[in-house]
Amino acid sequence: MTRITIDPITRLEGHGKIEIFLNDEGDVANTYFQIPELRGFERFVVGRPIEEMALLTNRICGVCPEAHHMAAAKAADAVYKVNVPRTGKMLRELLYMAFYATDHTTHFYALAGPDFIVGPDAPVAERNILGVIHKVGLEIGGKVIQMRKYGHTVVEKIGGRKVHPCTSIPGGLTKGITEEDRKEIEDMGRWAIEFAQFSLKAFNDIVLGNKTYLDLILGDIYTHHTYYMGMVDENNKTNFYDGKVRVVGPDGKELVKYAPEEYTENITERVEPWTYLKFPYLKKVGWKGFVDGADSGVYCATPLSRLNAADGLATPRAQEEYDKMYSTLGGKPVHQRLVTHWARLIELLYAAERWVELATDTEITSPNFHAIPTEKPTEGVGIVEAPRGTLTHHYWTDERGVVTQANLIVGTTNNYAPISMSIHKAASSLIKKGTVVNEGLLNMVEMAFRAYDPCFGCATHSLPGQMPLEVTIHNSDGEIVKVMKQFVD
Amino acid sequence: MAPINFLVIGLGNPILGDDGVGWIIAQEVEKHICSLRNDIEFDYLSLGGLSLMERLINYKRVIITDSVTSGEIPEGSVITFTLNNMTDLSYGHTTAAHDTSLKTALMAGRKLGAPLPSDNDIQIVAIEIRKVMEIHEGLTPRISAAVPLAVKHVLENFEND
Repeated sequence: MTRITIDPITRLEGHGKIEIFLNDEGDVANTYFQIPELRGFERFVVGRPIEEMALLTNRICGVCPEAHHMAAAKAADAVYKVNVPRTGKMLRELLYMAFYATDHTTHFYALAGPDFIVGPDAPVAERNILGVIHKVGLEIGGKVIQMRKYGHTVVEKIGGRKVHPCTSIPGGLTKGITEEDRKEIEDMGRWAIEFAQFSLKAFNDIVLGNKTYLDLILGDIYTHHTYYMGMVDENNKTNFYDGKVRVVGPDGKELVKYAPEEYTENITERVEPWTYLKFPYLKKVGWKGFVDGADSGVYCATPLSRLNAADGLATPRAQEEYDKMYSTLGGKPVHQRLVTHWARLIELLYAAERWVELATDTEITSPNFHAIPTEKPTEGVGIVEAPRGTLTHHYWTDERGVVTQANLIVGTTNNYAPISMSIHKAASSLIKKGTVVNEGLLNMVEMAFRAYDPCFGCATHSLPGQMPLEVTIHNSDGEIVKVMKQFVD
Repeated sequence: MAPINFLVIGLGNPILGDDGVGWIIAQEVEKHICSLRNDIEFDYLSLGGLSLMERLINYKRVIITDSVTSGEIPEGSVITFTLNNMTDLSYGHTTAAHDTSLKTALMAGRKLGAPLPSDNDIQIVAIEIRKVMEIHEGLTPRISAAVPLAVKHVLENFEND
């Protein structure tokens, strides 16, 4: 048996490894996506005050600290049974929209960009962030940096710090914003809307206008029929900050819509002996293995899943793009995983529009951004949509508000089973007897999991940062016959 | 007030044990020097790549205090080098699903016209660590014992400046 290993080792964001086992005929026998996850965080927080969770959990991950900050803050609100005043909720959501716009921008231009802007089988030396800048031009590269700067600025103005906000406390926030802040935030949001529209046009021109890419996106290699999850408001429109979690089936029909505190009735987890990370699945459907279909409890929680699970978006321009996407692709739900990149850009536009909506609300500068908790703390669940999936924080405390137990289901964990299935299908479709396994081909396998924007973050930053991809090919005796690395020595 | 030309960044994750040593080094340096100099800014970050690059914009010189996991020198060793002497293992590429190396991010930033210090003006003072995946606060004794030497190396940068 031949063994191929894709090992995206990185100290920046946890470790992961793709292993592809070939049979004697040279076809794919099996694939494994292994994650030696950082463990112990849920024990580490025991004995600490619940109000610290919004500060501590945003150090779990260097990629989406704002999402952990919000989920933990909402869980702390629930622990104290305190209703955050409208201004407090809006300020948190405003911060969150700026974070979303920043995060989705980075993903499209720095991560998906090399695949679609430069090309999936372009030479390794060009398929990178510098190649993207070369292809799209310095002006657009500058806009990406500007978008990130604006996003960080809003997070700092409302959250007190860039990247790792610190102002959310049980009942709201520690500070509000001035009219001067508001105006600046509004102006940046209006710029973000234009940037999002520009990005969608670029996607339309570069990706959808290229038949090869379109065939790749719509082909069977990257297609799966599973359940889809996403948070929605009272009108079943996508909401990143608040609402109920809605799950629809492969046929698009609603299976369930649950409040945060009902998540244990709907989600459970499966353990496999070959990986540390658990596989969440839909309790009411049950685990049938890594398979598609309405009988399989495998669900997906991504930008595309959120759009599939919702009836639309609550802002006009984003709704227009939402309608365009589904009419172009023949209706809902869409099962082709690479369409997630398109969905992500539509979400970018929604986030920017919602950013301006919130920044222009007459109550956003109100001093009524915090309610003092008066109830005895007990237990609470907070859920937000992290950019890469539904994020659930659940804490139990004693009567002093000291954490006695914690449970976290992070965004990417939701997608562990579908990511594994996507890798298997891509590898099985692309690697056949006699196939020369080169870097371009392995990149197309890697694209299967990259569409999910997976994050196994641990926010550790020791030097040196290493490359994400190492390919090791073993012969049937297990000996290494070839090693391929993505970096330039 | 003197213009802020120097930036000292404590880098790492303070809830990942020895990975947080960069913060401790920078905090000690700040204690030593804050009453003597007003042209040095301090920051404490758990960032890498693009976000870290963006933080360096508009500074002439930067010192990053960090941990390092080369695996080639004894645990607790203090090493000092400038960024131009560091191999960029991920030259041009992403180091994670969402980011790239600092060197690549700096290349991209400079290409886009951001006023960034040269690699030669970005000094790294780091301590070799082994345990990087365990969640807890505080340093192990061997790493803690190495902090004073790392602090000395950072302060030497300011003696003749």
